[in-house]
Amino acid sequence: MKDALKSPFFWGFTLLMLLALSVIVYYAPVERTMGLVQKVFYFHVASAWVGLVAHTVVFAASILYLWKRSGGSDRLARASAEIGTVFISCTLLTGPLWAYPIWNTWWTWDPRLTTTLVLWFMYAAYIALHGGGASEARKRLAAVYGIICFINVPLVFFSTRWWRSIHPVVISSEGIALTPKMRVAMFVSVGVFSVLYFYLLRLRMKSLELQERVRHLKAQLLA
Amino acid sequence: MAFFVAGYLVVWALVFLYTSFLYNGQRKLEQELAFLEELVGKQADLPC
Repeated sequence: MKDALKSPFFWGFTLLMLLALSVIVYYAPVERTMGLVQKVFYFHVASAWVGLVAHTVVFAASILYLWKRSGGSDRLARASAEIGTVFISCTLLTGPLWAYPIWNTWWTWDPRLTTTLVLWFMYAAYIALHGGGASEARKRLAAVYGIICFINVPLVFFSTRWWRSIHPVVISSEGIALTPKMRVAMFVSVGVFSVLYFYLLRLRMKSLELQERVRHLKAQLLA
Repeated sequence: MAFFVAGYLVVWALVFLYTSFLYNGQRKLEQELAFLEELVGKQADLPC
């Protein structure tokens, strides 16, 4: 625990989180129809945004791995998939917290909700596949699967436009359907979650690199 | 509003625990790495 407390990045993130919390609680107005429950939106959208960005990073890193065969891109894909899945889990948990008082149901098989759940299962399978071994063949297979999984990312984003959906559309081609203060709160929240993503990504990638070096040295000793 | 603040605190605590877990893991791996590098060095010094 001491190492985390010594890290300036951790304290920087803590300050940013306090800033986001203050903006959401004190600066963003209470929505007239939905009331306080609407504030879940800032958490929900930010985690969904970071989840989708993380899975786009998996896609790009997987292509890079198949092209260059560099260990760094493989580690980037794996770390980003793990963190992205955690953020998508947050999205899937915060959605029902808002949906129950507004829709009167925790869950409905709406296109946006269904595609997001499918996305979560696809990346959970990716993590299981990648974590199953450290061979080159396994890494190649994970990279191919990481590229295929990306098909679902635009489906999640455009699901509310392509199919009949009851999920609110806040960001569309016509602009952002929020008051200026709500927009500020949303951007601050998205910014803080993005910083958290990069911080966790950096940490996880370092752990994976150390694991690989240890594995390589053990193999060298046994050879 | 209290639920919202509590939710944020829970997230902060989870991030803290996860980063602590990662830092601890990294420290152990660095120690193991130093030990293994020493072993590899000794193995290289041994006469064939």
